Amino acid sequence: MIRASLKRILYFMPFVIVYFLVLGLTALAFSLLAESVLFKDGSFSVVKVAYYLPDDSALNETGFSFVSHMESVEGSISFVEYDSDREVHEAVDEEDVSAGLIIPADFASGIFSGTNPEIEVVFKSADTFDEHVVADIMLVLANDLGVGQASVQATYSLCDEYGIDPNRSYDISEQVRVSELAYAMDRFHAIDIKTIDDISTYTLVQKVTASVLIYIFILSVFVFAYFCKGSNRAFVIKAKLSGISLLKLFSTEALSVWIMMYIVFVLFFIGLKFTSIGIKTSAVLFMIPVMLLLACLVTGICYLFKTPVSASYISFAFFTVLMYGAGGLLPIEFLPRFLQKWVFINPLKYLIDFTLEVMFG
Amino acid sequence: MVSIDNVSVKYKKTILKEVNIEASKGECIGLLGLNGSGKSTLLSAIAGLKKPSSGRIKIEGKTGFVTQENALIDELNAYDNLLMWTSFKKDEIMKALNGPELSMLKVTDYINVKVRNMSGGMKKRLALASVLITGPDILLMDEPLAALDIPAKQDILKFIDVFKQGGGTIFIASHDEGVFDHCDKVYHLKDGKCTLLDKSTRVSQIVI
Repeated sequence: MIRASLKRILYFMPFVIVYFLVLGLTALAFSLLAESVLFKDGSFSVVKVAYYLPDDSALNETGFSFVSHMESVEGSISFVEYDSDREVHEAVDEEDVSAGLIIPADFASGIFSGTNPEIEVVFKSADTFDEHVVADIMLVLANDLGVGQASVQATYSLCDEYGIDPNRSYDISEQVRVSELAYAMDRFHAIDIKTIDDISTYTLVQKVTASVLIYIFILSVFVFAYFCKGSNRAFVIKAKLSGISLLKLFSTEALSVWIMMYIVFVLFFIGLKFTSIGIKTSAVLFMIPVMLLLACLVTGICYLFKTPVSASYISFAFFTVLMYGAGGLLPIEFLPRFLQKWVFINPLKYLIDFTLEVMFG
Repeated sequence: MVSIDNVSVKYKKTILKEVNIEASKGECIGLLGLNGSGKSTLLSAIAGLKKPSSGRIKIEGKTGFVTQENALIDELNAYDNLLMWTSFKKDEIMKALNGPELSMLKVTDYINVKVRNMSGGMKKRLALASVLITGPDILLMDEPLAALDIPAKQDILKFIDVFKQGGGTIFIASHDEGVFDHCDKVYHLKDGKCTLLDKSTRVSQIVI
């Protein structure tokens, strides 16, 4: 049986390589282009935000100008000035812009005086992907401004407690505990917009590479459904009568699938070594159990369905949804909020995380 | 050699009801009935693949089952397909194929041909050879003549006679009238019941 299985592997290998070559090259191109495609100007990363800033505060204008020209903000948000708060509301309602900011006249001076001026953040309910991104940015903005205000107020309170004039900050350092002051000043930042790469251990390209690799290996059911015979009733009967248990048949076929998958992985590995993705050399060893797990999964799927066609299409539909839900096809941060909550019960997420660790960790 | 004693098989409904069949060495038993009458279930029960709900099946000897669908691997040739199921070496396989029963199947004529390039008759003979190479005493055949042309049918029928003469017991489930001329007993399965047909009864009348 083993000799016959090896001959089958030799026969199947060219088909397997063609399958993986076509999908693998497509995936590789997608991985390498992912960052520029996902973050290029004109796609969802640049959004229009309306703002109203009363004219009577030079401090407000300086602060806003500083924030809007920060590199991370400039690349993500296009600010459009409106003449009144009513116009900002209308622009958001009519969807001319994705969100609006209404900044009170006493905002900058209020921070320093210890009053509590609030920026009004206007956006509609987030339905589309763009709107989710904008909503997130606005919330970060509002949160950080709030923290900034609270920190200044805390500083003023401390000054008051120690009997210090808050406008003479050089006196503060002599009498206020250094740690308290450091905390307050550290929180005194207005906006910190993070990109996916900033908040992740791995780059977007690495994430996409690992996810797509897992995805195309699972979808190799398309090829291996024609290799695995466990769904063929006549074959199973013959195996049983020949003294070969279903477990032995499964093991033999899963091992054969694993050999083919691993050969393909090694070819991918060699290919990835020539790119800038930065795959670790040890991945060639540590991916052995991942490939074994995938081979067992693929063989199991092939055994579950009566025909190769049903195995292929049902697994394609099921695993595409599962892979999307695991943050594999799009980073978790880009998923709709209700899906983000369910990512952690998705087993594929952990398989992708392990693969990332092994390949790029 | 095979004793089926009051065997019933039930799943959601009763498929076989108190079936009694005795088959001795060198005897051929025909099983006749419409689709879904329980012929394949009875063969599976004899092969030990389905457990009877009640009754007892006693078998003396090794069983081989030639199923309706073939269990061949399309991308392998005849020799590799035989290799799949035995621990024989090449010369042992060739020796077995040239033995008295297997030589009739003429598998050596196309030993290097891939299954995907074989005709229906060649596949059926190879499927039979892959069962016979393990040396069964009792052969179970489910629709052995289905979709075969006349020369291929004749080859299989000749083989049935030779296998009987060699002391083997055969159970054949079929719709094909011709095969029952080679059977010593023919049973009719209907509504789960199994009745022994009188030799004077024409099989075609029963099926209609």
